[in-house]
Amino acid sequence: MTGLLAVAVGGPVLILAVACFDVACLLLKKPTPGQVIQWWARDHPFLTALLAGFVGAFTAHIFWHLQTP
Amino acid sequence: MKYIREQLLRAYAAAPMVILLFAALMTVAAGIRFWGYAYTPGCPVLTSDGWITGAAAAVVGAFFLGGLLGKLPHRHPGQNEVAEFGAQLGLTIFTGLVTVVWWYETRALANPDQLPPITSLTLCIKANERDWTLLVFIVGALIAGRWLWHRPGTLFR
Repeated sequence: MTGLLAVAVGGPVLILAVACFDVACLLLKKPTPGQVIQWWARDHPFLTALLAGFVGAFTAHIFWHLQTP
Repeated sequence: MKYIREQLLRAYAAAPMVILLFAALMTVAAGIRFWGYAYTPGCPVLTSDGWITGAAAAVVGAFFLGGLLGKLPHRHPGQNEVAEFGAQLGLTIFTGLVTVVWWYETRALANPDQLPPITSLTLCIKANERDWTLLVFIVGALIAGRWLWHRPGTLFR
């Protein structure tokens, strides 16, 4: 597997895993990731802001990186 | 089967089901498209400024749309300490992985002849399949918004 293929497939695979887990939680009547993250975020608002900012900055850095021809 | 159908026909299940189908299709499509496609420094990386602006607007819009979807009524299974610990552990591991990726990116940018930076790979993929790539980022933003704005008052506790 090339690095390019790993990056290209990695994003959808991560989303697929999250979606499968979400649906499984719905069927098993367990707390969904969204619910648990919400509990966690309510208990740790400062950490949530830090983490969300960190991940958001990383995403923006990757997607809107300076284009050098 | 009847139970599964009933659960999946709820409004709240619509978003994860659509995301699941989309991600499955995207995984297969990306695998086929980039199978055996080797990265070279000459890979095109340019997309137009207009597209970049539209992409930014779409991703931010998806984040807010995710917040609205998080408000859909949903059965509340009750506070669960195991799940909360799992979330704490998962977020810690996730943050660690992002840190490792940043570390790799820093090393790669310092030695581009030895390691291709992740941003170069992403720009190469985006230049080849920009609409698919944007869709993945849109869905990622949708999930983040849906999780972050999952309001307690909407859960009918």
